[in-house]
Amino acid sequence: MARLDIDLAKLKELPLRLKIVLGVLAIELVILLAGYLILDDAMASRVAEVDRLRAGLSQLRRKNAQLLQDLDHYPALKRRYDEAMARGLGNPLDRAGVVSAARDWSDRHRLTDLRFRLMPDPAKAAGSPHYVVENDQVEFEDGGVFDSDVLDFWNALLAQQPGHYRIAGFSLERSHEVDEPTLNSLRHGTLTPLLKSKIDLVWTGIQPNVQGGP
Amino acid sequence: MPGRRRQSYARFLEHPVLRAVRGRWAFLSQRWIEPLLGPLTRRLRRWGVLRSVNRFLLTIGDEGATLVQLRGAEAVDAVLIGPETEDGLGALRSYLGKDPQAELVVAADVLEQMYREEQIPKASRFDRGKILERRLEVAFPHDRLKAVVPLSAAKGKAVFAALPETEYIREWIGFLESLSNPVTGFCLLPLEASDLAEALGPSPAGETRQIWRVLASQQATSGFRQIFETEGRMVVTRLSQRPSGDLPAEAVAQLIERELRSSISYLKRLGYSEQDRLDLVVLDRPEVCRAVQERDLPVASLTAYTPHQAGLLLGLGEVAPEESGFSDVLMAQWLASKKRPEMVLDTPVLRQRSAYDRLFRTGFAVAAGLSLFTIFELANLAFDAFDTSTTSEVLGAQLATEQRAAESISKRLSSLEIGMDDVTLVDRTADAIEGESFDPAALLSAIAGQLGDGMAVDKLAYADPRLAGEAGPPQAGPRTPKQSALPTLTFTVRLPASLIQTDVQRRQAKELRDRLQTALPAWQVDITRLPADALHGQVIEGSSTQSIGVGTAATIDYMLSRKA
Repeated sequence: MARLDIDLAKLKELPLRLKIVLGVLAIELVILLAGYLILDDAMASRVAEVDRLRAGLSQLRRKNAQLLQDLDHYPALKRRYDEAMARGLGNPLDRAGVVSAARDWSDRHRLTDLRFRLMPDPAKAAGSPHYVVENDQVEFEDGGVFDSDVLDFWNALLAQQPGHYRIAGFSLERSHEVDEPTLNSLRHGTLTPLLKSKIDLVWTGIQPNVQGGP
Repeated sequence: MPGRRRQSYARFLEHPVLRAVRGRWAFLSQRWIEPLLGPLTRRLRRWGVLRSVNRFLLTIGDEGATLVQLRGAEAVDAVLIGPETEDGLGALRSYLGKDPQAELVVAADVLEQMYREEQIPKASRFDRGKILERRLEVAFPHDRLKAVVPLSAAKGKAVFAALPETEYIREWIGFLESLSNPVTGFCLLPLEASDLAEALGPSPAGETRQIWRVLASQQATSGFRQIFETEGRMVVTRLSQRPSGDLPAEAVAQLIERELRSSISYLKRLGYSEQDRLDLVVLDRPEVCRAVQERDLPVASLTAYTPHQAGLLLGLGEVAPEESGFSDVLMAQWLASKKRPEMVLDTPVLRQRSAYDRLFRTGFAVAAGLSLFTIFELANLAFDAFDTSTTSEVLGAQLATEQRAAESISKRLSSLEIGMDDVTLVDRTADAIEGESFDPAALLSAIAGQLGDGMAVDKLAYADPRLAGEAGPPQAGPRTPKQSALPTLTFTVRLPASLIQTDVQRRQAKELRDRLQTALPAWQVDITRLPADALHGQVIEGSSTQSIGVGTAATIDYMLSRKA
């Protein structure tokens, strides 16, 4: 580290006016330096506070504007709510009824080997203070002679509770060729399945949550 | 400044428009500016921050000294101190003491002056100073008053000069160092006045010979001085005894001729030849000028002026009475008209005082600038503090208003029959079910309608990735969005068994794709597998009455992707 040698004797020899000017310069530099060190930090915190207030105000304004917009749209939303509830979106899934009806339609549409599966617990997708959205998975597998029978069966299922079902997947596959023995067995009244089908449905319903309904 | 340019400048200054502007400026300055800034400038001059409007020029010769007082560019007074003057230095001191802040420029016009012109070796700019200093020490090892100046006219050369510190000069040094005026000195008068001859007697344009010029003048304080110059540099100067005042003009002219011829013989040793051009400029009394012009001098041209005429010609004003032959004031004003002296030979004390003066003025300017900057910064900070404070208050008030508005909106929301969140949830759920529902029978019917003769769908599968995982046991954590994955339908079409040409199969496959794409615009139809070439690696059998059959009928895989 370099040493700073100040020759005091030479400094004393300087003319008085020069010493005064150098002193003033030193004092000004100290004032400037101290000013920067102290006031700059203070100003920075004040500016940060202003920025924070500005950001908070902006966020609150956006939120209020959104809430006001929601309030403006409320009559329309309420009308759609009433319509959805009237369609039965708030009804619970009648698990036994679905199975019973499926059996009935299966027989009616000449389907064979009907197999079904309803998951035990519904998945809770979203919620509000008073409602929760529940999704139940329903699967049907069967065999049939004509694809039109399978499609009729599916249509009957979907029409049972409109506004509840969404199709997650389905498949149709030819399982047997239409050959002479098959035609003979059909002529003798024996239902030989020529195709396999499967449909996965998601049954969605709005249910009151634990705290109860509105 | 060359003489022609100086004269043009002097004429320009006397232009009526410029005189009117100067008059107007003088009026404004006297009426408004002086009363406002006068006290400040007077105070700054008293402190030594500003130089005084006065300047003194002291020319020291062997026979006395001349002190010229200048105000701006105009000489306002001149004092001659001769050897017979009683307490000459005291008189000068009291004269200078009237304005102790006025700069005093000292020019030496004494007999003993030493000049040496030397070639300087090539060196970098940083080394050149050290080399010059070393050379100066070698050239004049015992002299205190010495200096060196690189010659701009002659590249690579420098003029070394010294002023021997005689008892007489030492007395002047003591006097100058005791003054409170800022002193610039010693300047060497011959060196400073070497360009005067060119200004007064310019050579004709187109001259091809080397031009030498000589200025012959008389100074009351020194004597008869000749200064020879060529190519913008002084080559030699001679000082001889001043002719007696009662000497006839013809005798003075004869003296001038004799001195000139004597100097020329010396000049020849410095490179002058008879083929060169020599211009002579004489400054003397009117009758001497006339007498000189009648003589047959060995020069190419002769210009003779009185100092009075020369002063007017150079734009310096009246520097001497019309009949006077002394050029002391002319020389002083010529030196004063320069931006800076050519060379200054100062003592350590004078050098230090000059350095302190410069340091003080610079320090004062920096301190003043720093003060203004500090004031500006403080004002800026104060404004910023006020601004942030005001802004904080305004923002706080606005925030309170918005919070009140938020509370009011919250009250309205809480008073709704069905809560906003409940309504929104039901609405979004209904929308989702509606948007993701579709009729599979309609889609399959549309596909069947586009199949060609003998074609059949073997298998098909539909999957909606958006609903994968919607049902089933509840899952912890956020659900991954599946909006980007859209439903797809894959199916396999079996072609008629009689169709065995691969190119026909492929054409039909593509035609079916095109038909499906037209019929189902909401879906993107792609072929994921085309029929393979049936003629290689397969058994082909049949008869003339039967259509040709293969082991298995050709199949094509398609995929329909729901467009976003």
